[in-house]
Amino acid sequence: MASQDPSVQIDRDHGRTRVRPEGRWTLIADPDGRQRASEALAEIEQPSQAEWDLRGMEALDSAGALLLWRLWGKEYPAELQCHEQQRGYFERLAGLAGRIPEPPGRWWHPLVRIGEGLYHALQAGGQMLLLLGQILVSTGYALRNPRFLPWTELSATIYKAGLRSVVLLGVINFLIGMVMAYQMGLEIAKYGANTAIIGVLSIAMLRELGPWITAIILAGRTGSAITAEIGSMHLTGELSALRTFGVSPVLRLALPRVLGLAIAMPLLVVWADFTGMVGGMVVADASLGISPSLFLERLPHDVELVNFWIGVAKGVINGVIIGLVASYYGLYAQPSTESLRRQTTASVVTTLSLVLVLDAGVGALLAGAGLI
Amino acid sequence: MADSRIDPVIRVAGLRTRLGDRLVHSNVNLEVGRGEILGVIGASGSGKTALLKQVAGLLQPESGQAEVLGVDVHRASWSEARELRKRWGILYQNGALFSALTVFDNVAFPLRELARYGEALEEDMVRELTWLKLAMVHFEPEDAWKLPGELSGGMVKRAALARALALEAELLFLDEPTTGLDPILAREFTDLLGELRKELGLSGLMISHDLDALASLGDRIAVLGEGCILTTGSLEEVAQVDHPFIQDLFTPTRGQERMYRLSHPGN
Repeated sequence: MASQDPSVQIDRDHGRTRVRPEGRWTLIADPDGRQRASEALAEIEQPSQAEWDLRGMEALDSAGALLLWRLWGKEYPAELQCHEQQRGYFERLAGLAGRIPEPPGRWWHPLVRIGEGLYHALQAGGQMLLLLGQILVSTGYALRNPRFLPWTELSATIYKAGLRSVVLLGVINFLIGMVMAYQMGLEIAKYGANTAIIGVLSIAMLRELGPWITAIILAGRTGSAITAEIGSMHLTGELSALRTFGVSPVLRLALPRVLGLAIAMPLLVVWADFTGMVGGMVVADASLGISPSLFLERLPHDVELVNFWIGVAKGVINGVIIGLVASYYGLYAQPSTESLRRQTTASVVTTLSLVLVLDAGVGALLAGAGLI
Repeated sequence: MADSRIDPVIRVAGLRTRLGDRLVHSNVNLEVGRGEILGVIGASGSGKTALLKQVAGLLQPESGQAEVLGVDVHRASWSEARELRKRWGILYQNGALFSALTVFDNVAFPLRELARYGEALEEDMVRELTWLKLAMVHFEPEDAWKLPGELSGGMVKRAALARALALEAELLFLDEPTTGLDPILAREFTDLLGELRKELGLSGLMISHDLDALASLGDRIAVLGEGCILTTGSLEEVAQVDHPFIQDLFTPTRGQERMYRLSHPGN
């Protein structure tokens, strides 16, 4: 194949240089050919002043054409003879001169980044509040016109987010109950106050761990799914299709998810409380010598019922947060995979942050009100 | 079917395809000569896209073989297959642009991928080649920084064509190139394909139902139906074939009929 390698014939007479490239100048995926062509071209003095005859080339691709064009200083040489097809490349290259726009610049100054972040956070907060308002209005409307209540979607959400999470949530909470009881038991046993485990474990489980673990699992399992689901409707144009039929995406997509989670979450919290405490009971029996019957007998004395209701109430609030934030990030996604990735991540992170902030806030409020 | 062309770029022989339980192709034979574009038509569900995927090596046949540029697509070694893929471009029906990348980066993508095989082009060469490819498909430079989600249908097709041509393909697979475009844009895109095809000496396998595209790009038309190629020939020859789908396809549309009456008031 040596005869096909790109080469250059140079004739010099009477101070005029004639250049005739030969061989295959298909260089786009051929680093050796590019090397050889560059070396051959480097021998030409004042290439743009020479006479060029490209008609002897066996083949020319855009990389070959570009190589020549650059050699000529991005303009036509003094004389050029070539095939019509070859000329096409140079005409396009000539047509591009001065038309290539700069890539849109981005500010990387830290102050700008902080400002941008803050702006976006405030914007997201405002839009989320707006969505919450729209959901409340939609709820009011649907309650006055029950035919508009999206029952199918509502029950689907309760089933998918609620029933389908039961096993996972149960196993995790059972294990967490065991671990907590074991760790607390080690300290408590030092003081011989073994029965204190009943109150300590139960209050922690009912007030904090139950709702909190449920929120983590549901944010990861359901929140991300909701964002991805609604977000990808941008890609397929389903959101526009819904609007075309006069169906409000807020009423049909966001409302049933928020409502469904607000219904399913407290039930899941009860289940999480139950499995967590059973896990604790098993360990209390094994390592602290507290039998399940003693555990259950002391439970009503050591733990006030209000703790249970606080946990359940947190479940409702967390359900609303997960549904609201997940729907928000889905509805405000752009139709691209990159946006979908960003929105899904943001959905889970924001949900968990909000749940934690509200949890701490409610805790402080209740403590202030004397409801320890 | 016996074609006297010496140098076929695509040769499909005895291809048999099964998708799930359904036998899509029972025995498909076809040839595409160098510099020729073969248009494939057929009813919905007759396995046109499956055929394209077979030939492009995206789908494994049950039996039979597909030879592209002299290489058996389904039995090629990994490196043979890679060399082959550099020589063809696929224009997907909906563009299949990478939605996270700008148009510019989409077109530069195949060029930048070369670096992974030790064939790297310098970045400023990649950049200028990308601009050149975009110019070839008449893509306005100002729009090159847009994301695919921000483009109109015609721009998506042109960007996808620029990407398909990025590695100087000599063979193009065109899956419904004008579908989803309005008639004016469709004609523009067909003209663009014709212009580039002449300039670059492209061969092609085109699936299309657009008579305009078939008439101006398809040198021969193959009709796919009942699991095999029913007939091959020029558009005029194929139009004579007595098959319900073909007769339906070639029945003038109401718009064409009325335009005809407008220009021939006597009829």
